[in-house]
Amino acid sequence: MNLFASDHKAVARRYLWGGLGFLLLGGLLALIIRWQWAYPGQPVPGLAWAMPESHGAMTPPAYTAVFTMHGLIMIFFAVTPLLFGALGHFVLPLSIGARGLAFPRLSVLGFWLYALGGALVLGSFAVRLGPASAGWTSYPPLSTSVFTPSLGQTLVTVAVLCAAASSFLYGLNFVVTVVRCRAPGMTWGRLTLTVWGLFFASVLNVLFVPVLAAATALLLMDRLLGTQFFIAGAAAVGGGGDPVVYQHLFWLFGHPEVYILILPAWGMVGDFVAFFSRKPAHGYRLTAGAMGVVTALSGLVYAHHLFTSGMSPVLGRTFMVLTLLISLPAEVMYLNWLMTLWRGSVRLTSPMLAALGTMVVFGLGGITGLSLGAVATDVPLHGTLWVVGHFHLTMGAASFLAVFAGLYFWFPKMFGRALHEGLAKAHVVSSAVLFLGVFGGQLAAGYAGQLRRLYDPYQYTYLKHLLPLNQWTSACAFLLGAAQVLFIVNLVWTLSRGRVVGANPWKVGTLEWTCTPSPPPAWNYDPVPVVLRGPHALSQPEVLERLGRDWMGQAESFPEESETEPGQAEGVGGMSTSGGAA
Amino acid sequence: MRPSMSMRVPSSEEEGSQRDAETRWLGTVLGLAAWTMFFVSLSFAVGWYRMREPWPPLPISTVLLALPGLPLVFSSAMLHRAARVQPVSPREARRLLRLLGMTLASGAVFVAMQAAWTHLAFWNHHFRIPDDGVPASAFYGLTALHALHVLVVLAGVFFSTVRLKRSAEVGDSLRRLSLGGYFVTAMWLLLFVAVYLP
Repeated sequence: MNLFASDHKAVARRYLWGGLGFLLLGGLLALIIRWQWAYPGQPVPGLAWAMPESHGAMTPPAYTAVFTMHGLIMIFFAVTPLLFGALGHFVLPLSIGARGLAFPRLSVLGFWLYALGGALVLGSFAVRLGPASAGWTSYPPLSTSVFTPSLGQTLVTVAVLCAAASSFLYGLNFVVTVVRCRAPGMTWGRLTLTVWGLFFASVLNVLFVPVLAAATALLLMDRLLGTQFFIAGAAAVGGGGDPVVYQHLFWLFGHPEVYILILPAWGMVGDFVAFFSRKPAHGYRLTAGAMGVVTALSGLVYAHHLFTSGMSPVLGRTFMVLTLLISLPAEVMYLNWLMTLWRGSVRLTSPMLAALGTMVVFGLGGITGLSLGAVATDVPLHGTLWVVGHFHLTMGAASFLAVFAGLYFWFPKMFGRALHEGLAKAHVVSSAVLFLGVFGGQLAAGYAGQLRRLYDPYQYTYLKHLLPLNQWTSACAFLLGAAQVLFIVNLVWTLSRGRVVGANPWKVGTLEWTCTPSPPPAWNYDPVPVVLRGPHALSQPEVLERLGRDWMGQAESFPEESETEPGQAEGVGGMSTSGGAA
Repeated sequence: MRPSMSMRVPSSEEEGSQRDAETRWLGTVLGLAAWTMFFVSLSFAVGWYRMREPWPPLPISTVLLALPGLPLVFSSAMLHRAARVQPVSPREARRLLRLLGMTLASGAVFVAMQAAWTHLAFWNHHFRIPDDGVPASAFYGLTALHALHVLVVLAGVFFSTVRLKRSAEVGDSLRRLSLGGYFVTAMWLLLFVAVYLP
């Protein structure tokens, strides 16, 4: 295996293994947090070697390090790289009929920056005083050397900078690839919704990742060079900075990051709902437009994360209105998905189940988010587990299920073998249900007043009665962890002995399934296909009648006039297919 | 329409190469436009502090702080001219090398002047980061971050010069590097307004 191969499919596979590895690590850290909340202070099974002085029990510093690293790893090193690095790299050029990405060497550089960041994260576990422990947001002054002097915090901050640089590079690469490298005939109106999602998310990546880079650069200078951008109060020598500036910069990136994660997921849901309902996507243009509106608004809503930071009430109200407004385009998308499902010939394949799971958990996450977008309800809920439950449903569960929807769908194209459907369905359904158990439990605990980030919530009398709820929630989390074994077994078994599949096992018409074998050759297409219609040409009466199947390839033309009934070919050009407008 | 005999029809290889060059150009434009957010964010942070309390004058005079702008603008202008030279003859190649040399030299003067001012402020005016809080942090920190960007562009020009000396085609790289030249010049102006002006 050439570790420096610049073929987008090879880069995607590298991101896939890296992302899955970090997903496993981040997941194990989550289980440790849940253990602490279910059995506070009791030794974590199997961790005595890591914390011999406490016989494997979590100490407060170890606990803060664990929840910090869980968040950081999941967002920067697992879910984002899986969505963009693995699925995006693999799918995007294939879906638009390109031979590769616009800048292949840039994508190699991006991967190795990500790998360097990952190595620094892993290395941080082995240094004195342990890894980062200032929360995944690295809020100063906690993240300055005054409060977290460990080398681990510095290493992780550099790692985040590496991950950010990697995101910037692939974001830029994706935008330019979509603009410049589409196959002939692949108009904007013929792109798959997945590509639209990846495109808009990449626009957000290139716009807002530099903001994170700026915040992180200033933080690193505070840690390493003694500058005082974010050190204030008694910790500052003279004058002093303001930690709230970091919060503004961080959330100006951090809130769009939610959409960076969910836009590709929405795109996939839009496509899969159409593919597996055997119907054109209802309101294709509206769905793509709604994703565009979300993209445009995403940077304008960030300050709802700062309602409790002493923000001016006028600003607070403005950001509240903008935040609540952003739910409207999301509702448009939901309605379109539901209309696509309505009276469709729905096939509950594993990607479809995962897409439906994404819809459900993101829907619940969105509804619970409304209370955080409004100032009056955000103030009492802000410091509680309600926020944790909400963002885990939107960013965690929805993105996770979308990753697996995409993986189950494109795995046959990636490796030429199909994952076992039974195991895949069991994995998806159990994961979706258990996600609702875990994060529903967090929402309930938050609503009851449990503060987030507490090492031992039960030291407060008013929270003691939440122990059974937290134990049930933790049981769901442990089962959720166990459910992932289904995927690991499926993956290992499939890669060694899985069923070899043909070019188009799902019977859909997009370019990657209809114009190239599984797995595709180095140059993807030979020759490059000429695109004739949109991506959702499903169950069209003309196609059913003339080809005897319910799908038609994006670059497929009808058989010659002489081979069909006279007079029928004329209607083909005007055939209405979703997104088929040039 | 058939092309006239005098019109040279580009080969498909040339068309592909031209298309690749246009793609790289677009990538550079988009990348630099997006990276502007980096400096805008830094300026936002400085603006926040300046709104909070009066910004003390820096210990170096504003005129002196403005001076490095001259070599930077000159360097960017030389790079702009270099990007438009077609080294089809030895004379043109020599001219291109001269322009690149001037770009590198004036860029180096800019970096040296910035280094001299920060050195002066630190040693001669006791403008120390811990004692002088955010203004000192912004002065040293943002100057250094900007200088790093200038050095990246200069490194690119240096490698292009080396490649040119080895008779490699560098026109495309120089056109994109000239965008980098405009970018660091514009960002220096932003830095000047945000940090150096009292």
